[in-house]
Amino acid sequence: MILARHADSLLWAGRYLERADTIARCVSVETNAVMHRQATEARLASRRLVQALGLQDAFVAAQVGTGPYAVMDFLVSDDSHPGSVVSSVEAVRENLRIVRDRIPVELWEEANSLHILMQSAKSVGAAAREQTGGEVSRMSVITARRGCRSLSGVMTESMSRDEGYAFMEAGRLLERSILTVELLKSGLGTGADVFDGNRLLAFTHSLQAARRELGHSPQWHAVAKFLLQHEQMPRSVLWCLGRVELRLEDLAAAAGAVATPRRRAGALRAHLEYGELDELLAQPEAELAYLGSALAELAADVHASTVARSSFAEVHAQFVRPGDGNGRPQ
Amino acid sequence: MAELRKPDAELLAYDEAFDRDGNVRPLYAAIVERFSNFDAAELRRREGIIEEEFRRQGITFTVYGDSQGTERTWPMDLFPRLIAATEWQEIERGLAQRVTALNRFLADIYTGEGAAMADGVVPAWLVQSSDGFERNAFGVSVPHDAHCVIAGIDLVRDAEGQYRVLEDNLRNPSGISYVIENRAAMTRAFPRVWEDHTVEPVGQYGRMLRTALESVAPTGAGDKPLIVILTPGIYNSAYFEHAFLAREMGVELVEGPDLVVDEHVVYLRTIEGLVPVDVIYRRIDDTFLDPVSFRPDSTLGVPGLLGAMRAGTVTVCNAVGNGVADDKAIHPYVTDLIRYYLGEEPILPNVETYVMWEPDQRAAAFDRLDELVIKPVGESGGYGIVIGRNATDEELANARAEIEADPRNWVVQEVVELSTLASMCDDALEPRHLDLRPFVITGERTQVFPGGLTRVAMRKGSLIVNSSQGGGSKDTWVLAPQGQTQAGSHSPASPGTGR
Repeated sequence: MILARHADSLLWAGRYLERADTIARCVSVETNAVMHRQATEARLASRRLVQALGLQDAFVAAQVGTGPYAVMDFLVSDDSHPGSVVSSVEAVRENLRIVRDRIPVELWEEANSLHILMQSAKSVGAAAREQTGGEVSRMSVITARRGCRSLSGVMTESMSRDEGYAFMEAGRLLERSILTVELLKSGLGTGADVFDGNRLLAFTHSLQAARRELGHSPQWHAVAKFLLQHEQMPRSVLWCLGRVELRLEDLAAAAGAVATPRRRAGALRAHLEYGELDELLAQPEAELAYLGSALAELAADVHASTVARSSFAEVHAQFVRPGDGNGRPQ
Repeated sequence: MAELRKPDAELLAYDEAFDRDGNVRPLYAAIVERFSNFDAAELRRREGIIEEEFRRQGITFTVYGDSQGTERTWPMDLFPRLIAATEWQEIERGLAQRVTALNRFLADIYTGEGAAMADGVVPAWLVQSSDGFERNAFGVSVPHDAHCVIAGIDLVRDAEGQYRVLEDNLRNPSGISYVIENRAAMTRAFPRVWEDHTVEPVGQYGRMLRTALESVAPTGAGDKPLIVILTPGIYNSAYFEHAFLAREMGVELVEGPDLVVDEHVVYLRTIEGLVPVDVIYRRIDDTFLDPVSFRPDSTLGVPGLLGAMRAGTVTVCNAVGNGVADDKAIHPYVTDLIRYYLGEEPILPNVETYVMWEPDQRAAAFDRLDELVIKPVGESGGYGIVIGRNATDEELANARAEIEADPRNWVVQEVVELSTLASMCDDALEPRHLDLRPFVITGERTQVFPGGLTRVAMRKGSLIVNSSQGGGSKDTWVLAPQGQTQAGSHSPASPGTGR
């Protein structure tokens, strides 16, 4: 049994955990590249990353400076918007704090420790961080990546495979799929800010595995197939959807409202598993736009399933009433 | 070694570790010896370990009105407080006796015939004029008459070393989680101090409380009643404790909106739908509990909860209306209530308290107001207290006028020089004042949890032990009776699950 509110918190804890991990990884990849590039070129690429992560509006609103490390700082240590690593880690911690009583102590402690470390970087102040040549934010990235790895390790190894775990894992994998599709979009086009295949693989933590199959200079098309359709790679959208489907099956007995997201996840998985991806990718923008919106709708459905059956409006007709055979007094 | 300062000879207070001649009391001989092997830097280092550990684990409390607005790490002093087995047995008996009588009193008021009032033990007008007296609780019976399942009784030790009851907390006493975490921290920071002592463990609280809560479930709840803890949420100062207790007991931690009442049954909103709830251990105040019966603006509570209680489909712990029995104005009558209900002499005396609505007591108190402590009965947390010996003539005159204007609202107490114990201050261990809050659990029977929360004032001479005002805490050891080491009694007590 799980409270609807707790299910919701765990779903979001999973999503923010994946987000913190992915942004930290992208920044880490991008920071290494920045050091070997012209300032303008580097800045363009960073802007593209901001866009891919869906933070364009926040970026404009934050009036980010023009220093070479300003974009990195915006992505890592700026808590004025909810998309930074520091904000995502805070969201993980706040959501886990709500369910503190039901998750393993170690999971809470890892989240809390990571939050404390990230806050200390934040407290340095933006100007001072820039002065250090990005050193503070770079250290934060290392801290965040290590912290996220510990969190997922504890999650995998010590969380009971109950409804709470199902929601948290579903949240992570959905967020991962959504970000993968968005990152793939940033490899399309011809401008100087388009990310090449290797960069996309590095952003999605797949470079090493893909190199064995795709060689050293994979083209976008091959990368897209790898990241969308690979059956064994836990970073691929197909793999993630398969797992989401399993988690929704776990929940099916408990939460009738998962029927809708289950159908949607199954349909989307079948689309990737059995669809002619070569054909579909002949019009890559359209295909990625379809996948992006379908995943967003799926995520919204899963979220809705945490509340649907817990309100009277939905269940009044079905729930057990006192005195109708369950042994409770009137 | 770190300097261990003895209490000043002119201090009136009883020192827990040293006698009046400055000799170490036998109870503390081994621990003083242990600590004398550490220099100040080493003690600071271990203090750092504890603080870091508390911070990492998020063992915190929230200070309201703090500009940071959020959590502070729980403060714990390194030097433990020891209570000898024989001494504890006496306290234990005294507390069980007191809480039993208080539960009888509550049952008498709300579901009984008001016998104590009818027989003149406590004036009926005093009971009915109490802020904690709750008409909504009339006729709501509680299994085993356990109106107060969890009580925290504040004890102080006077200049002669006698334990006295300063205050009863029968509504929502907090602090038990820190008792357990203090033990875990002490175990990590001083793994070897346990070699010299056998200490009663504290890890069993979750089981003890759960058993008590199960025992007060409504009839018809079945073998495995569904228990929840109702919290105001993550911004409450004691949220850490609420989450801790839910984890230790293995029950759900819920907020008001997670519960819903239909036809006098309380349900939990889960992803499976609505599940009926049997017992609610609530950590929100009476007035926020049910917006239908109490404050209509409360969003923390559950509309219709009181109706469900009245229908007997759910038990709410502690029961509604307990505030009448821990009213400061009732406190002076508790010893008589013990005699009345139990026919026994009270084991633990009260701090001597005078009621201002009795003309004789008032006149006697007015003659020596500069030696006494003046307390408004409606306040808590030390607010509004006037300490006679520190007050100006004008302040005393004002107090007199206020008492005469509304005698129901005031009590006057003898000054108690709280006992002292060595505590880490700067680079030495110095005597600081402390109190003790043991916890008493009532289900089918009344049990006292070994030890309790020792709170210590960290400023020299200060009597303010509240953590929100800079007070600290100490691990509190109840020593096992010699030669009778209990099963499971061991030094490094695990604080329960997950460690």
